[in-house]
Amino acid sequence: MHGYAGKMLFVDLTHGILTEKPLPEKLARLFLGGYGIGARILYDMMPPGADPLGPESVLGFVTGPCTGTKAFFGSRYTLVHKSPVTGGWNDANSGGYFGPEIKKAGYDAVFVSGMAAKPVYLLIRDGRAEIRDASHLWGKDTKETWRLLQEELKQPKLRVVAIGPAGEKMSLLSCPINDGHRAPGRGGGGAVMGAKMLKAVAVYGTGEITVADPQKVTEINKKIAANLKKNPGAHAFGQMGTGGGTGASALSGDTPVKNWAGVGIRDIGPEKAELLGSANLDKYKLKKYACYNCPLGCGAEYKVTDGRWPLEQTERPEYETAGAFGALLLNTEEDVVLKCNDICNRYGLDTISTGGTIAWAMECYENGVLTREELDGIDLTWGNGEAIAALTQKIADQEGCGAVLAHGSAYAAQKWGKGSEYLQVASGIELPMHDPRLGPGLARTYQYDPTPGRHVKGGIGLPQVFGAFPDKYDFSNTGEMDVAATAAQEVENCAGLCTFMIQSGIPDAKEQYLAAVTGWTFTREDSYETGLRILNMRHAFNLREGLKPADFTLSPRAAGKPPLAEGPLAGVEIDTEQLAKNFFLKVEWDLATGKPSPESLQRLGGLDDVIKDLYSV
Amino acid sequence: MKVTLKAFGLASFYLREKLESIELPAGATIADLLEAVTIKDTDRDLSLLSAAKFFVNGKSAGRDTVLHDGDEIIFLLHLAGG
Ligand code: SF4
Repeated sequence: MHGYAGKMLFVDLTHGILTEKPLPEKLARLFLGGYGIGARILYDMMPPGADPLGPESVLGFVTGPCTGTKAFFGSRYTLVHKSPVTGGWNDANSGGYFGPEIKKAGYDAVFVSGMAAKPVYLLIRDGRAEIRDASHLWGKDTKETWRLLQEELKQPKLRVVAIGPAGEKMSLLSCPINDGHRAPGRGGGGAVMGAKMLKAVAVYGTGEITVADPQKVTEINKKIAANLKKNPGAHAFGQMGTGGGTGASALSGDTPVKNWAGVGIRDIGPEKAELLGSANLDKYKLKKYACYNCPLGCGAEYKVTDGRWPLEQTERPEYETAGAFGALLLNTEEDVVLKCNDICNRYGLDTISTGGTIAWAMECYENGVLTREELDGIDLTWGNGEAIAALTQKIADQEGCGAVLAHGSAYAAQKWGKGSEYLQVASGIELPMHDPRLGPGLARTYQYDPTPGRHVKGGIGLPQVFGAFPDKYDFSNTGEMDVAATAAQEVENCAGLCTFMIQSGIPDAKEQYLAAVTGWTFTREDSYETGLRILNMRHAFNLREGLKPADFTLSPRAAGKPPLAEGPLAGVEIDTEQLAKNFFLKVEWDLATGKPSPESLQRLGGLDDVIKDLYSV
Repeated sequence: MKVTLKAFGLASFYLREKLESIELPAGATIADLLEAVTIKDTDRDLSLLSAAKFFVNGKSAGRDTVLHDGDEIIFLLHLAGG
């Protein structure tokens, strides 16, 4: 099978058993890779109602057919598991070099079940896998863990995904970090690893993934390279990274400001907006960083020699991080963003949810819901950089109030019994840094995607943010485009491709790559069906958990309820019900029960057991 | 008349030079301003510009907004992504 390593590895940590299984071609064809294969396997392996932090929970690292091939942007793997934050399905993808390395080492996916009795790591070297003691690594940060493993295994090319202290202590904001700074950040994957006492997965491989039509792949690459040259967006991306537009986003209404209640042009203003993001930070740039085989390279390594927090080695914060620790907190002190980004990367924390949690605490503090005493003496006023950095450190260490805030804003509101009116979450997870009031389709995506609260889950929202759509506030008839754009994103994600390939200027680049890599025909219709199948698979996982559409919630502010009185988004109120209705109708999900029609599942195929689970009494 | 211009995000990649103060004929609109300051380079994809957003003196504005002496214009274009 071209494009695949052809094997999956199953690791039972409770019994210390490792099993290798061939990757069935049918599974690959139907569910492609990433969370497509991930959702299919976890649906089979996990019983409904399993505790995400218990022994029945299964965690997967799943690549896609384009991962690790010569196709541009094929850098991704997806972390899949049940989320301890939302209580439902979770996937989060990450670039760097770890995903490609898994395939070079001989596997398309690694699934980990059970729980180890003491800290362990999984070592995979060219098709040989073993569980090893990680006691000496417990307590170490993600970068240190990577370095120590490289040294002890005498393998400088070893690729590692590891949790830091935050994941070890099962912080619900925690995530693993691969390659020192790339993160499948969202949904509490660090806690799942921590509960399993799985400190890290270390991989080294020398294999090569064959593709069906190497010439065609080269041809597509060349076309993309030529397009990128002409595209100022790509140019800007390569030069400034995703954070280069942070100032623009804070003013336009894209980045939420002041816990989603502020207005950038009023509360931050153009002078301060100029201080936001890479525009102001790239003076620290040492060199550019690109993920595996990426022609854009949106990352950068930094060295900070001056200021309050010198950092010998750190990274350029990407847009989401710059927003979450910047405009969201009314903070324009960029050294604070750098410091918090560094803490999050080392301790293994999701920057979006950490920033979101602090924003919630700030609004609680402003309104006297949380006192200075309760915040361990921190004067958590808007934009107070020292306070933001101090609280981030407390969250990382789970010290004082940080022990509660380390589990996110929704958890803290419940634990402390107050402040729920200031939560900005979707199904309990903090919202990302693109505002539905600017791209209304995001409201549907954030609320009803089977992995709620994500900006990389397709739909019409992001195009509305970035493009010119004069009719975007007309909420009728969005279903067809919304579903099509969602299905397309499913395929892109599960192929193992980075979402920034949108810069390539070739709308069907993913289908072209998939056909050339696998040798299968892959028309846009195939793509649509595959995407829908994957979407339904994730959705089915949630339905089996007992989740209904009414359980999927979105904090009202993000939908303009009430609308902002000032600024470019003044007066915008989103008819979330209509958007949901349009989507559900088109995708053939029942609005009350969420159940997909049996006909649609039948048509898509590969979901017979789902039909049985949903419809047999 | 003289107006000042601040470009954000991708917008700065469309400016011919880093201009802060621009001389325009009376009655000029934002569209005229853009015509005067942005690149005409046919080798670059100019279609992205259609999504540009504008503020004049802190208030949202459009391409047909008429400018006045001393106006401060913000011209911004997101970087698609994040
Ligand atoms: S665009 Fe950025 S995140 Fe995507 S593959 Fe390239 S370097 Fe990685």
